[in-house]
Amino acid sequence: MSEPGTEAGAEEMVRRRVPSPFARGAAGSRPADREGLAASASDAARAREPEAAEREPEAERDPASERNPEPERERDLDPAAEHAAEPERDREPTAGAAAAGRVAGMPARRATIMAVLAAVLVLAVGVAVWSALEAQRLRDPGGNVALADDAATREVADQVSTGLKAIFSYDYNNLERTERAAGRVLVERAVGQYEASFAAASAQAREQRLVRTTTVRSIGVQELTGDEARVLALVDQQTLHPGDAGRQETTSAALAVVAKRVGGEWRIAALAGL
Amino acid sequence: MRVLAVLTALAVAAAAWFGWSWVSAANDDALEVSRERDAVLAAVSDGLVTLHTIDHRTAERDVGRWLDVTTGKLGDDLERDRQLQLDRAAGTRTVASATLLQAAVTELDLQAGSARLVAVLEVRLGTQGQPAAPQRSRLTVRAERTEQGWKVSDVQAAGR
Repeated sequence: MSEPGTEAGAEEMVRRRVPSPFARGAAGSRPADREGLAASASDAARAREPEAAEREPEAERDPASERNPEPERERDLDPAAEHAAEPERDREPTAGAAAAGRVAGMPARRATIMAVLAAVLVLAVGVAVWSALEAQRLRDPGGNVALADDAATREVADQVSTGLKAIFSYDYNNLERTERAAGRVLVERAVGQYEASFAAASAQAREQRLVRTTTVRSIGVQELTGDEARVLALVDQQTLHPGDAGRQETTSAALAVVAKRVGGEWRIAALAGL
Repeated sequence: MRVLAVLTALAVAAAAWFGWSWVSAANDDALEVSRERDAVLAAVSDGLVTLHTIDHRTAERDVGRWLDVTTGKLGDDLERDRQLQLDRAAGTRTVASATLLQAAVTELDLQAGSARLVAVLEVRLGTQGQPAAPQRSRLTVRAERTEQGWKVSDVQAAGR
């Protein structure tokens, strides 16, 4: 058994007895499997027929067959011819075929399973990638829940409306109320933006004794993400001139508002007239 | 083979997860509202600019475009007044163009296929060869969903 030639011979023999379509298929497609098959086949052959395994190489080294290589080639092509030509191996095919059948079944199933797994893997990866992309595409505007989240949208619109009405309505008699409202409603940049315009408006209101009432005609939330929103509002301003025979005028304006939720309430963080 | 089996199991799990994500996204009402909100905003934004665009030299084509972006009563009115619009544009040698500054959807009813919007445009209206003076146009708009997408069905100016 330690002699390399012996082992090679046994292996060679067993391989020849393996049903040829499989042996060819396995050998052709999967080198790893062929190695496994050859190794286990020769192991099996050695385990079952130690003498045969040792005897066979002798048969192969038979001077007759060496002198005439033709039968060897024929045997390769036609298994029936092999038995006919070498009847002394009659016992061997049984054990060899059994061993070959056993080892042939396992790699075949293994190969099938691998192929199925590989196919499923490829398919699953494809489905995963495709549906991830599709879901991503569908959820693309998902960051902006304006109108999609009805309750949150209403909350923003209502609180911004209330804020706008409060800070743009004033009475020359009670300008402090408007200032207090501004302090409550405005944060960040809007504080400075408002102060500049309110200073002028309140001076004019005192001077001309004006009462201005602002109503929101229409308000739309353009963007709502988490604690920040962009809002567009159309407002109407009705200005009463009590000192001028109760003259009344109405103007309208559009306001672009950035609102932020601070402490659970929506405040106006930036204001721009359009 | 074990590695392959594990990889396959992971891939199948990933496919199931993302597949479910896709299905739920496709059936998500909130996402549908988001999509329609963006669709109506885009359609009306373009529609309003179109409705403020006319050149007496290409009036036929321009008024034809008005009809393309409108529906309902507004569409009917424009259709009926088509010749009047053409005559007026020719008579005053009107050249008008517009830019949308801001717009927002204020209401969206997917069941009814209707929406309300507010929009602010800068309109440049020139007549008799005079240079166009830009002016603001603050509008409340209604839109309806048609087989060709969202169209403008009513426009009201929100005063001065």
